[in-house]
Amino acid sequence: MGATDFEKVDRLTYGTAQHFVTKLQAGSSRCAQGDMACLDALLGGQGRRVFRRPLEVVELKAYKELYAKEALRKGHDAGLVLALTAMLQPPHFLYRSELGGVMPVEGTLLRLTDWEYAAALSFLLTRSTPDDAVLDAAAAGTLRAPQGVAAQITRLLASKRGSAGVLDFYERWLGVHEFAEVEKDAKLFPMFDAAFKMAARREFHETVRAEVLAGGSFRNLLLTSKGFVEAKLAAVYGVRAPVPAAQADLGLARAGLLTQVAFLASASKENDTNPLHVAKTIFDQVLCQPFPSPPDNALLVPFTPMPGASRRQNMDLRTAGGACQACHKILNGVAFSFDAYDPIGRHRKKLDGLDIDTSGEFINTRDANGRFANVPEMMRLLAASTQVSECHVMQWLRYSLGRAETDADRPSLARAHEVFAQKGWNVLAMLTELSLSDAFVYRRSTR
Amino acid sequence: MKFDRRDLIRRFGFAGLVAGTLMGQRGSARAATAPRRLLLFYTPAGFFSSCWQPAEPWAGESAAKSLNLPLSEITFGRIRAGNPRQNILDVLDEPKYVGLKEDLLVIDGVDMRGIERGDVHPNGIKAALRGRPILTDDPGPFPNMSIDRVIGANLFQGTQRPVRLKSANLNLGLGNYGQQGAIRDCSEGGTSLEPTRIDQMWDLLFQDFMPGMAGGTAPTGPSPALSDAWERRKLLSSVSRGELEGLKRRLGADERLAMDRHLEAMNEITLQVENSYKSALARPATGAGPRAPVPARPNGALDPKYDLVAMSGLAAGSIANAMAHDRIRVAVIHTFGQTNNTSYWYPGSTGGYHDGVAHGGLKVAQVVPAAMSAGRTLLRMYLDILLAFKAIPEGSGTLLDSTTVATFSDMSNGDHLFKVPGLFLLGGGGGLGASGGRHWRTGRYAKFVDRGHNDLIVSLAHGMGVTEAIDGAGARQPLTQIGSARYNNGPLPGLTA
Repeated sequence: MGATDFEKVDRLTYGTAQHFVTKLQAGSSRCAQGDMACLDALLGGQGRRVFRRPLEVVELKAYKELYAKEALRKGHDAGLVLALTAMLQPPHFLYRSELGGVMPVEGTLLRLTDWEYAAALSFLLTRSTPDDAVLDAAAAGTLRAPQGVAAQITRLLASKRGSAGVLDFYERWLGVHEFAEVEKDAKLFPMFDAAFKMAARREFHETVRAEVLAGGSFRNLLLTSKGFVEAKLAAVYGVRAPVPAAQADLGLARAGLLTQVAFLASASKENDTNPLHVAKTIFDQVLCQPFPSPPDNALLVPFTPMPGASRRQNMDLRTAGGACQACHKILNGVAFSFDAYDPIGRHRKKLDGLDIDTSGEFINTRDANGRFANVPEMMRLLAASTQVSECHVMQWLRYSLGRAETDADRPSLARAHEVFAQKGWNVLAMLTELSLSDAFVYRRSTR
Repeated sequence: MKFDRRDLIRRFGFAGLVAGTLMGQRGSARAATAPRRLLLFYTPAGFFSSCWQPAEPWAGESAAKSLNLPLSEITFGRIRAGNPRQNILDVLDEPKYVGLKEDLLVIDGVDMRGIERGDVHPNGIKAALRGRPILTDDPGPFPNMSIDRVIGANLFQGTQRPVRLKSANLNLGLGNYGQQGAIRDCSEGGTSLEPTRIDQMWDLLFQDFMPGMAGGTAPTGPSPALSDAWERRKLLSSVSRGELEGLKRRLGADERLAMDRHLEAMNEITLQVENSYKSALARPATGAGPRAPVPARPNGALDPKYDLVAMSGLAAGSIANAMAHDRIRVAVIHTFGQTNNTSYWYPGSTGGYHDGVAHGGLKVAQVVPAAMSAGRTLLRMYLDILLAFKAIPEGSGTLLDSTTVATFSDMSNGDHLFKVPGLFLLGGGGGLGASGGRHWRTGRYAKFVDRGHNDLIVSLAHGMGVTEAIDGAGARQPLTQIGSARYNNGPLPGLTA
């Protein structure tokens, strides 16, 4: 944090504290001057919310002394404002603590405290600080029991802010998180306006809600032929929009999130599709089988397109030899199946006047290998793959811990995947298991 | 998966602190370390590049060269063919300035493209600040931007300091040639101070801050708002400092460094408020007590024709102190001496320098000494500005560490709208504080080849942490180009650490 950042924090926290005290003192729970019990409760309660743990005795004493000095100088309310400002400025608030208990449980291994665990769980699911119920469970020592975690996950995900973390995960998983910034050539796609983008994003979210948050199966995320169709999207899918907007069948050309507008438009360029990017997303994100980036001089290799050939055929020719072949013989077949969709996700049968070959084949995967006639068939291969389900657990672990996996995480991943399979690919059950895993609970000390 | 949410501090499963809440969502290393203040110094007539461009083999090396060597021993170019080689960079070897080598970045090889001969000086100055081609109708995505205004508006937007922000152009052009108006035009839409005399400048910076001083009476002391801000900051710092020190004992080395930066940042802001408060308490005439006293009100009767260097020094002192007290954060010094008939007069040169060089008023034999004199004078004026900033403590360093002081001009080689590469100086650090090092890669002579001055302005904005701006349609978009795309090739590489 530089001085400019600190200056912003200083201003923001002071304003926040002023706003809080103004509202507090105008309400029924106001603290009267001289009511020290009320002051203790206020500072202690707010301190627990801000630090995501109870204040230590010395901390509470320091804030009370700060209150007293400022109250003497400028009055009771000013004292409250300054004490609350002081709580919002230290690293205890600005950073999330994962220091573990005072003593390592073994060697350099530290176990998150109940309070740190409450914060980790809450930030994972809601992208925000734990609410009072989670903190109460941490205080009571019931949070970390399997039933306690499951109950909190269920409760948080049902709350208004509860799905933020899950929706964020799936957006990032498929690169849809910057969909609001996606633009298309207005001459070619005049319907792709802000309202259209909002409708497509809502559809993505509703599909995640239906297949994940409502207790469905992860595999259905890759297979469902249903979408949340609003009037703006109906023309793209070639279906009639339900009134009011609701889940509707999108037809045989659609199978899961990767065939919905939000993903297809995000993965395309302004005026064209980007099939190799789609294929790379599938290998990187869905199969956890990343490919290296092409060499810098990849486009410098001279190539003259064959007249009358499709762009898929030309790409096959262009990448048939040399260093290109190793990756492209795997990628091309997956990539150009997606030529069946245009840059805003409309299904099509011809491109540049030629019939589109939507067939392809997975090779070199662990257990998804096989030929497919079109994208929905490709999705069925992916949905049935253990490599894909294991990858999905790994992606959740990466997201929840903010780091890449290590060898030490393998038992945690294996156990979470086992539960995932046992529970019919129920993401919430897998998440509960992951939240109880050693990977989630332990840290290595760097002291 | 991308880890842009939680990996600010934590590394691969180790215990520590995870960025959450406020700090977890936005911000970058650049934004955290970028300089916080900007002073632009207009160099009328520019520099004769050849005085600065080392001859082979020094200039033949593609990499930037260290300034930390005896520059007087370097062979430089010629101002005019047939004349002896000249060198004005050796001013940096003078005892007064030698310590500034580590604070200075010399940028060579940048020309003002996209302009055509025949336009007037004021438009050139606007172009120098806006990076906009003058005689073409392609203004690019930011048609009315001026680099000082954009940085002021974007970097410090919404700041509510104990003393109010007065970010704007501070214009000391005392002539009547129109240049002052040109800089004022670049302030369209921004809050601007526009004094035309040195005493007016002081009044605009300090009169409401210390109203008693203007008439020579004792200062009235700090305002209630400033007193309140100082008391509050003292109390907050006392609590936060103890908490930080306690936390550090439980952290690994990387995280301790992050906490050191946090502490350093807090100390810097605290000292800034303290400077303002203590200065308001003190009598500046005594020179005692305050760390950065408000300078005495200058004499408005100074004649710019004869006291140009003195005026520049006074302006620099006032601006540096105003920045230390957070009265302004972005300023432009536009200083030159001029009469109606002899423009850009410098001590030691004969007659009007620009008229003489560019319009044939000087004989060839007179051009070299005039150019040498003007170049050395400009360089010393600029270095004196750096010294004024370096004399004021801030955090664990000086005000210069968190300030960018850059030159700009519409001219080079004494000529208008230069097509030959000009020379640009960039001074100051970037407040990296506890981590050591600097934001700008100073202490070097960086040679570029065939780059436009548009690229230099984009680089300056990026270096100040401004990577987006409001375009002509009122939308915020990435600042990757200023002026026509034809004259932009991206920011100059390697200027920041």
